[in-house]
Amino acid sequence: MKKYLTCLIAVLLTLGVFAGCGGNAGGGEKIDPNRTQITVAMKNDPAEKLIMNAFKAAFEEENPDIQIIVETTVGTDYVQTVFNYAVSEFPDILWTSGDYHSTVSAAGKFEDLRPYYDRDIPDWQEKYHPASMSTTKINAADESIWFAPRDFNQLVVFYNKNAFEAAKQLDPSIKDPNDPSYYENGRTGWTWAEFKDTVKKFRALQLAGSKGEALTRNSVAVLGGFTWNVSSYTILRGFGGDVFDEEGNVVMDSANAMRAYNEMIEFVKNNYTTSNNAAFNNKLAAMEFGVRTNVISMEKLNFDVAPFPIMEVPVIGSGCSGYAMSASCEHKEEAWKFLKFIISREGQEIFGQTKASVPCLTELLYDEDAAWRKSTPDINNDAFVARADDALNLNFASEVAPKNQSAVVQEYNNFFFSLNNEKKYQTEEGLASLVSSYMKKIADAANAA
Amino acid sequence: MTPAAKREIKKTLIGLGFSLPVIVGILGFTILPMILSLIYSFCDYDVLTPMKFIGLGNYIKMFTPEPYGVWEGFSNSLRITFVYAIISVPMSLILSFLLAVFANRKLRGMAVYRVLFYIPVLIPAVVSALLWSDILDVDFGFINLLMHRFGKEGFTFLSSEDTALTTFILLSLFGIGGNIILWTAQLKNIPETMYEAASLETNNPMYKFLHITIPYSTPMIFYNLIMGIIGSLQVFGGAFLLSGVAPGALDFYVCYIYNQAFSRQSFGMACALSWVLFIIIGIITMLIFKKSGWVQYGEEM
Repeated sequence: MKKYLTCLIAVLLTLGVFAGCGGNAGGGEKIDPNRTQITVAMKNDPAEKLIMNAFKAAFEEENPDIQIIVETTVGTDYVQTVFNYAVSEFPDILWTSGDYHSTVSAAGKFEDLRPYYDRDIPDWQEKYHPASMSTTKINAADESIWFAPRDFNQLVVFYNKNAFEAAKQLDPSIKDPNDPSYYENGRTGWTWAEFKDTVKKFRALQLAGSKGEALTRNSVAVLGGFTWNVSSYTILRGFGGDVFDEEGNVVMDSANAMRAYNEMIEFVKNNYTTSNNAAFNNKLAAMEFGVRTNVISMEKLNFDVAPFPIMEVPVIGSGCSGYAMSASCEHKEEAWKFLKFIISREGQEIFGQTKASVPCLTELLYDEDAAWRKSTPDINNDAFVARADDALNLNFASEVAPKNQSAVVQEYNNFFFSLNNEKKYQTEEGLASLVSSYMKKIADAANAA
Repeated sequence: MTPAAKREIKKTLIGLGFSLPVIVGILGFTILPMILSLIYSFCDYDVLTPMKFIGLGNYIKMFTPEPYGVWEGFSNSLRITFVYAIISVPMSLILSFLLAVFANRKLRGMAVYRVLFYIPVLIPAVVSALLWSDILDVDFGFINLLMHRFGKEGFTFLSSEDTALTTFILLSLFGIGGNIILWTAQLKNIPETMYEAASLETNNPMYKFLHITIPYSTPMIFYNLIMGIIGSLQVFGGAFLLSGVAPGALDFYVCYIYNQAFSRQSFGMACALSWVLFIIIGIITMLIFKKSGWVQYGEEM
């Protein structure tokens, strides 16, 4: 007896070594042998779980022969997640974002969905917003569709209504970001100059030691997110600058780009903005640059949303996420059926109910009865789709070799971190040296062997 | 086979059975990855596409300037890591030793101090990093809010490349509680009779400290020195989490390896860099062992 017990303990201890191996497959869901299984992996994020469970429930009801097995990826780093799968096996369907798929797509790990779109979705070019569709490609010359985009996310300005009401009492010249005068005589919203004027007036009230939400001395006018590439690239392009020119040369030292940097520096130096991401939700910023997803975290605020200010070059950063099909998927038709459901009107309406994002199906963007609008009836939903034709693809590194793209984006982000955080770079000489050093770093990253 | 031999074989098998989890663990999670990483270090490998054998290509790239190599990043991460090691190891050794000497005194309430010294060690590095990043935030951090209240300008702490490394080194001192415990154990092993004998000659506490306490503590100084150097050359978790705001300033060697693997998709280079670190640590440890004549073990005294 003692002998057997000893053996059993030894075996159990040995197996214990492997206890931590394996992913979070299926969350314990039972496999039904009479149905075809499609595994879907997504970020371990409550909002994503909510969305996927809603898709799964509706799809399985309509397709009882297909079982959707939902996996959550380990960690939040998308690139690391992809590599974890690459060394083992990709799920049939994997959540992806427009800015990170190129490396994986170029390596042939994702299925090109273009033939499926052409076969099953007539006029798909008109049905889905071109800004969202453009992010599914590796570069401008690429004709493929590497993932099915599910949303249309563009930069907007959230504002604290209580702060604006109080500010208007103290300074009647302050106008609400959705003031009707911004839409008179064919205008389509406030301009950058008008936005900046509002920012300055807010700062004056804050420095005067006013009381109230986002009006105290330690508050700022706007959480600009200048270290976030959606915000920084929109401003860079809005002033006429860019990272690369058409020949692929780094042109971050152009006069227009320098004006964009100096504008950001002015915001930072005068404490118009902050790098603290929680400032708006903590009522320490009157406005915030953000996207639709932010709505979920603003439930305790009395807020509204306005379109992004119109800049010299009228662009608004936009991006999207969606679902890619693995090239090694065994049941491609069933997987496509699920993807087709997600991007159908029914699927997009289910998606809209979650408040998390704006659907990419163009017929729903301006439909007053669309679920995404009804899910947030008290805010200006038009702001999320205002000037949608100005949507700017944020993949500025798309013409760089796919394997070097993430390194270029990393150097770009580092540049804006330094620009916004380091006082020594906020002078004329400092800025010039920073720009020159990062132009070399970005060029080196883009051309890395 | 004799019954004695059978008993011996049975004993060996049972012993092996119980050692199996450790053997499998070391083989599967240490030896195998080491062999694989050595193979990958000679390949161009991005995980997504099949690997290509490039010989010493990755090792040559380390010493080749960008864009053809990674010399700038490699040398910068080595510099930061060695600066950190050279400053933080002696600092933490001296401070933890002095605190241990203090904690070893027979005073009332000393147990409370020992607990206070050790508490920061119980906080995981990642949690600690997140807490410190909040406390040291430039705009809304507790310390800068206090400074603002007293009319002082806020300090940049981790958000400037000029102050990030210094701040990180100072933060690392909150983890010296582990060393203090080891020192305390060593100090308690020093025979009281040594101090009594010394008291016959002098009452000078510094004399006793220099001629009894330190010589008897040299084995622990040696242990803490080696572990401190190895640990400081492998800094990762906290530095990685805190490195976002001041790009490059906390680009420690292991962070650079991670960056090569997951941002540059260059797993072959990451493996080669890991082997270089392994060799560096090996050489430093060997040199310290060779020069360890100053260590006095109990039986030699």
